[in-house]
Amino acid sequence: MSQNKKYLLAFILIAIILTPLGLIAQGPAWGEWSAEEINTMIGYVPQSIENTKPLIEALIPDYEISGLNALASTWISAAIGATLVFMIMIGIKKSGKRAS
Amino acid sequence: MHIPDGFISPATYLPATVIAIPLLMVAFKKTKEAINDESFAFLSSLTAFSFVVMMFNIPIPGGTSGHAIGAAILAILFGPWVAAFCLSLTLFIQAFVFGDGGLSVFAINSLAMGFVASFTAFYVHKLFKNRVNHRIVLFLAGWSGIVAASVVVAVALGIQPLLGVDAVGHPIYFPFDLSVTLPAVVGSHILFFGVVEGFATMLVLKFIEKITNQSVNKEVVV
Repeated sequence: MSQNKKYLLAFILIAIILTPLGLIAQGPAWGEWSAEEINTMIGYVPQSIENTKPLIEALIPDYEISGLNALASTWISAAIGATLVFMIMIGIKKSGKRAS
Repeated sequence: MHIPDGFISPATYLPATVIAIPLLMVAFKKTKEAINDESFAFLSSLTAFSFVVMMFNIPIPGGTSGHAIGAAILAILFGPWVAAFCLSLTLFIQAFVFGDGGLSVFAINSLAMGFVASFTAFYVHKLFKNRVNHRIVLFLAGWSGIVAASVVVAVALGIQPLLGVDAVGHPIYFPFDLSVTLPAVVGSHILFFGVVEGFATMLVLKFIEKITNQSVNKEVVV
């Protein structure tokens, strides 16, 4: 492995290790509220927000893995996300090579 | 800034999807061309970084939170199209696997945090790179990219009360109008998350310059 690749790998691993720092924030992003939170704020839930179901149920909703604590969930979620990125990028690299 | 399902009317997300599909096709083609043995490690680790950095939620006054997105780093290194694709890939994984951002409104999230952030950061960097202090330009590219993205999200959310009310006059979709969304979403990015994105851009690109011994001000770094 080249020196640069080692540095980049260390960089992304450190970033993943530090992700639980994001758990310090209690509140959601502005606007990204649940139906209950909106109900508390304005006294009703707009129809579309009440009735719209996601097209596909997420595998790991809100980066929380059932049965695991927040710390482990966050680390595993970050590792899964980063791994998926690498796998898809490898796929794109291979498809580009085949085409050329 | 990840808009969930149900918040946005089809009258908004369908046109956004029609606009985003050809743009994503171009961005995908350009990414395929840019990805080679040398660039692969940088492209994939910095895209992974954009995924990871969005998990660093930073609390701000008012009980809400937000995060950097890492778009400017990719835009400065690989150009705006490649960055827009990489960010869109991150957003797709977030929506599909983690339910963070709705799949029905994926196009709006992709246009905002993918395309608008990347193109703004790229051109701000290009415009100022040899005129202003290097670190300040990197900061400004990050700051302006995420602030521009926040404008798109604030407008998409803020026009929803105009696009549908029920029998009793309640909005069907997102209930707050532009007079609320603009200060809340854009204001918080100008003051807080833009600053975080600016410093993240500066620090990560200085790190890349250090390990490659090249300036990111040149056309192609890796």
